[in-house]
Amino acid sequence: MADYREAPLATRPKTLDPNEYFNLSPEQRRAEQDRAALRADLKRQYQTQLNNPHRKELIEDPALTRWVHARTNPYSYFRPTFKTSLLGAMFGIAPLFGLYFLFKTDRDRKAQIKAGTLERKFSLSS
Amino acid sequence: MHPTSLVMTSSLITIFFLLTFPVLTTLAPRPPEPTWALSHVKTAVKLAFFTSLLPLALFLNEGAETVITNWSWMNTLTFDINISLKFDLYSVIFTPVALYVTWSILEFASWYMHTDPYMNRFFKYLLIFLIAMIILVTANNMFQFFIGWEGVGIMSFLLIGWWYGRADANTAALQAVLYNRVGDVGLIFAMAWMATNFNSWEIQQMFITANNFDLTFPLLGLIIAATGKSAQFGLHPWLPSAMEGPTPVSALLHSSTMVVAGIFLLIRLSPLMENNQLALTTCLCLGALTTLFTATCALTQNDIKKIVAFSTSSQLGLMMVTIGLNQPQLAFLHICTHAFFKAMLFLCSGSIIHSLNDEQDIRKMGGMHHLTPFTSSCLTIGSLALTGTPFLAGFFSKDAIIEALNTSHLNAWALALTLLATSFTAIYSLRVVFFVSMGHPRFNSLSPINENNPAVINPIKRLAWGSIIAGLIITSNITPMKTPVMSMPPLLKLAALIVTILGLLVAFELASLTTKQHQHAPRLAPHHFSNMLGFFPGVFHRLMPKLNLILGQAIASQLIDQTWLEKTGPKAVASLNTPLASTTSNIQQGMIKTYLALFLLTLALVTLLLTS
Repeated sequence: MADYREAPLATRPKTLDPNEYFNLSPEQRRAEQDRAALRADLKRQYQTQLNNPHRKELIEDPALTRWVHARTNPYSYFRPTFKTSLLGAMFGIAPLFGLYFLFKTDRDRKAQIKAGTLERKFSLSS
Repeated sequence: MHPTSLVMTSSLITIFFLLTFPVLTTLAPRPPEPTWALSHVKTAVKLAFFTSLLPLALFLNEGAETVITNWSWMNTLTFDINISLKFDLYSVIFTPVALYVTWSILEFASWYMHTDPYMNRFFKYLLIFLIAMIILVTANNMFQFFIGWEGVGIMSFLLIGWWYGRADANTAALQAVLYNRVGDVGLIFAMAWMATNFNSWEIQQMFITANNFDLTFPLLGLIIAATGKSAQFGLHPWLPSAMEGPTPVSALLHSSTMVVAGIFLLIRLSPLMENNQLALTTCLCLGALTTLFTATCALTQNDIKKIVAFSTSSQLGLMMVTIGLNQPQLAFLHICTHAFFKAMLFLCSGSIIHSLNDEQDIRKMGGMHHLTPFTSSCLTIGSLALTGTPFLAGFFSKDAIIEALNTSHLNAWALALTLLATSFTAIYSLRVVFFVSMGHPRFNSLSPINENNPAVINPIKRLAWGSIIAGLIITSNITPMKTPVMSMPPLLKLAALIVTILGLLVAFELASLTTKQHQHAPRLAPHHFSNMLGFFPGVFHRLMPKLNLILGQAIASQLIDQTWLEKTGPKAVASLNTPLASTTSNIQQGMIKTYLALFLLTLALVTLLLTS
């Protein structure tokens, strides 16, 4: 690990960071152990179901079910944050004003051409 | 009627009939006999080639050019669309060249595809492609040109995806169609602009009326069309992917004829481009970038067909540079000479691939010079012609182009890129020859390798003759329309040769390193860049769909429709009205007697107040 050198513009992956191995506090280690215990529990449940000889149905993944439910019902999980409100403003509100402005300017110019009041400055090339 | 015009028009119409007759025989319900491919199709193309030599002879002897307007197709008061065929310098020379190359390729294909159960259909597709190409080349108006343009695009799709059971082939065919379509946008825009401004699609009328207009927009549209069809940088990935098709398809379509359609469009309409400096500079820079980029990609490829495909793309970039130099005739000359040696390179590689039991990786070939001496010699001749060896076919066109580039007051950057690409051409050509024919075989000797079949040898022999003498013949007989610069410093004159020799020396040095077990680091950045084709397919084929999907799903559908519009629409109405409604209904506490008593009391008070 001492001679690992990452690509010039990339960041070092977390698993190869020496701080991850040597400078962890006891709380962090405790938290990691708890997480590993949860993962082992989930794996054990899955293996129990997988190796059940009388099982005829598919093994349901509750995490997948929750993800699909979240993906199909965005509103129930929606929370207005800075990012969502900025994107909503950029793609929802700004086009309204922008398009209004564009169409109004174009229509005004056409009306001016029809009425003969459009100012055409002299230019040599067009 | 004058015999010249009679012979000219009748032989040209004869060519069309000769080519369409075999296609019409397939419409009969009787199944064609097994040798239909050889007896009908190849004979038709051979006869058409010999017939097309007549107009060529008349043109060379008397300078006879004809425009045949055959049939008034759709005519309004102000706009005419006719079937009109133009046989001028470009089509009169290109038609025999294309027919000669196609004749050789068809004979080769009768050997290459002889185990294919649908060989008749394959030949029919090739013939329809040829007819579309001739329509494109002889078109005198943009509508007919567009028919040919789309025809070659469709046949390219059908032929690339010939082995349609293979997912890669289907992907490649679809990729070709999509990239060509993007280019077609430019062509259709240019056609629409011409129809509205020039009021005609006939080439002669367009040239006359063009002097009063600013032609930047339609010319840029035409350049986009050429970028799509001729695989210039930006719309180039379909050409290497098109190597999924059988080798005769690669030899005919993607080296000699179809990919030059874009360049041919620019050559046909070159009088429109002469005075527009922006269009010329765009062509120059785009061509220079293409030729260098694809030559870089060709340096590290290991599939022999892909190397030749990138070589084709590089030469197309060179043709584009020539157009940018305002030398359409030189570009056309390069098209004709390039057709010969590139088709021969493809046929030689097809012969080698078939002999080695469908092995396409050059790292697993070797020593073919002892096993197939004729094929490897022709491979070497083709590579020498490609690099512009003096007095072979490629020299007359390529050297003339580089001389014109050296002596013009233009972009030094384009010049540097083109010279660098010329040396890269020498490098990868030597790499191919080194890996394929030199050294010892790197494959098991499983099947006997021979060159006995005349169906293989004769086409390659014919094309080899073409590669050697075509350049000399064409330049000796055609009067140049623009005077070339004849006097220049010796360094400029020899620049192409010096650069090529430098490239060959570098390639020799690198090739000799392979025998010394030279250890290099796992991944060198330039090699990785070249091998991954400049990361262009990897980035653009994933970036554009990802952007579209993000804009469509994440932003438009989920963010705006399902959340913000919900929040500001129905949910806002609900959240405003619910307190009102609940307050109103909470006030009603159901004390009917009290309400009735109050109602009667106020009624009595009001009645008293009103009556008194």
